[in-house]
Amino acid sequence: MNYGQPPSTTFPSRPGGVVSASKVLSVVIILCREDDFMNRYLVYDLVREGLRGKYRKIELHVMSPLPPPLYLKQVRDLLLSNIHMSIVVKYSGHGPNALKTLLQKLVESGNDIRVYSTRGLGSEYLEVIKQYSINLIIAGEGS
Amino acid sequence: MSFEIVITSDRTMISNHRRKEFLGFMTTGPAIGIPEFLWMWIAAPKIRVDGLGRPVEAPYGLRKIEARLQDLGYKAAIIDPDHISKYLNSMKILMIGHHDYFAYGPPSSEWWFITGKEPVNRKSFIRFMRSEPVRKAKERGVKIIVGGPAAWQWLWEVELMREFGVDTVVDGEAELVIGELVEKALNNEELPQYVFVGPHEVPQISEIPVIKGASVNGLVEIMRGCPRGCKFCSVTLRPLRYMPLEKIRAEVEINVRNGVKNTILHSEDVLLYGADGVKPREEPLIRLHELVKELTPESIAWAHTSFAAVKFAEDNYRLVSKIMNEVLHDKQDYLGVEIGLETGSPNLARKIMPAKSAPYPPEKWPEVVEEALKILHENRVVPAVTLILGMPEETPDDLVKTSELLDRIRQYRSLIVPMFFVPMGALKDRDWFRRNAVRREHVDIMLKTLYHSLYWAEDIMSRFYMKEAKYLPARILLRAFMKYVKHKVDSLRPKLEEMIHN
Repeated sequence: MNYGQPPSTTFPSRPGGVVSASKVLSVVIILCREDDFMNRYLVYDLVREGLRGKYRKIELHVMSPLPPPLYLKQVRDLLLSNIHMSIVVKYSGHGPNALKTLLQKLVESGNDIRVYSTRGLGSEYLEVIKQYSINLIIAGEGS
Repeated sequence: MSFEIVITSDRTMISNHRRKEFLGFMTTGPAIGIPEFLWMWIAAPKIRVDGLGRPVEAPYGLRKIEARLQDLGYKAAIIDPDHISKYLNSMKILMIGHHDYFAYGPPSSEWWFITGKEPVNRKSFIRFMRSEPVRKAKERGVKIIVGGPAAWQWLWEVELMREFGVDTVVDGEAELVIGELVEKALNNEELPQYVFVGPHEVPQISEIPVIKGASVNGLVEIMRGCPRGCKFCSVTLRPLRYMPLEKIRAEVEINVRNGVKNTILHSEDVLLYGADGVKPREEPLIRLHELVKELTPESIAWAHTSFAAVKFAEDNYRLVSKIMNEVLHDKQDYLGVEIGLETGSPNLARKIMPAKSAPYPPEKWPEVVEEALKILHENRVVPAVTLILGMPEETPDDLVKTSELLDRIRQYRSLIVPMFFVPMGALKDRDWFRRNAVRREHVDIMLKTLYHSLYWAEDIMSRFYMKEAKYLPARILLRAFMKYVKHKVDSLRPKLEEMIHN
């Protein structure tokens, strides 16, 4: 008996039609305090982009005073709310100097960049973000 | 021979559970009525290894990662947890997989919730991570990468992640991302802390490797993904892919060559192999079973199927009868499978799993369940049926409907296991089911399912499962355990009934 022919294989269009997406979106999340949490709002914002088919993957650079891997609990809600997009999470230190180093690297990578923070971001951070002409999005207040 | 990548897990995973996968479920609970070592001896005995400490059978997910890494040219192997110290000098990466690291998944979380005791899978895993070889490996700079279906649980255990020195958590189908992570680890580059593999980064059929060694109990994947879209399930998010018969043949042959004489066909719904949407088709299913029967020396089981597929297949093609009575009749006298009932309420079904009953409408869900169970009973297919309690939007009326359905299906041979809602799939941002949310209707359902399962377990054990003489000691212990549970519940019953009626 010939078993060489497989039954029909369906590979339906992928959720959200992101199959043709190829770009990576770099997202910086700035958490100033140990008790700051980035909520699921941000995921809705990112998934909306994903569903438009623009990005293949999101690189999440988290800045937090909590060391790795403890900072993950500050973005847990966000990560557990996502089912659509590939997300890679990296720790990027904390403080304005670390932010400057990170933004410099991301700008050079050529990826699209978004910077999110919770309320009450210090002026030193705002100064760095301004230097790179990036709009800061305060999570929960709309983009 | 040395390995730079060691793939492993704790004993609850690296065991063949005496070639009885249902015994493996005992590792999801705490030891009850007997000492823990005896509980582990029954449920997760040590497995035979070769001279290099490689287990002759290993979990299928770990086998896929091993195969992918070997195909990419790395010196990688699955090593038994008792033997990883042999590779402390050569190991650069320690990869660990698990289906329930911290007992947060069903049914572990439920046993924990009910008994108030930590399940043995969690205890065994934490013990393994604190063992000397793992600690020494970390001290020597070995990178630890963890993954598997329970990867998400690490987000709730970041303190342990720090204590154990876990570098990266991979959540999702890892075939296409693991090579890049390994390269980074070997080159001492910065590793990401958490990787979630989205639906558009999953491998296509040609990118899924064939396993190189035997899988536990001969498990072989026949498809990935599921078209039903139930909101509580994560598998359904992935695209549907059917494995070609040649790939299935190759994996069964590897298992048989390594002494595993049974095959478990793995899919979220075996009867949807080669289906027309959610309508089973006769030809691919008959060809699949004929092929696997020809290759498998002993028996075949299905990992999962659905009540709707059972009913449709039987009503339209007499397919369950044909598979059992014409294809497998001279091979085995029963076939085991897991099936999700989840709720007996059409209303709740419509909200959380609108396509679970398809091609029948959600309003018909209880009838579909009842008719399918009759078909299975008559054809000696023994299902382990799961219910979910505490689902978001569940009402007392939904629970009453489930309870009524349980009364109607008492006559059908099955084990019914109620599970508490665990946020996964499209519902993974919802809240967990908590102890203070238990209603009297939940207790009523739990009691009904317990008495149902104890009754039918006795029948299943004596007529089908573990009936051979070699299983006598395990059978005696299990019978004693079931008696103990029944006695314990009987003694608590007046209190529980008082709770139900107040």
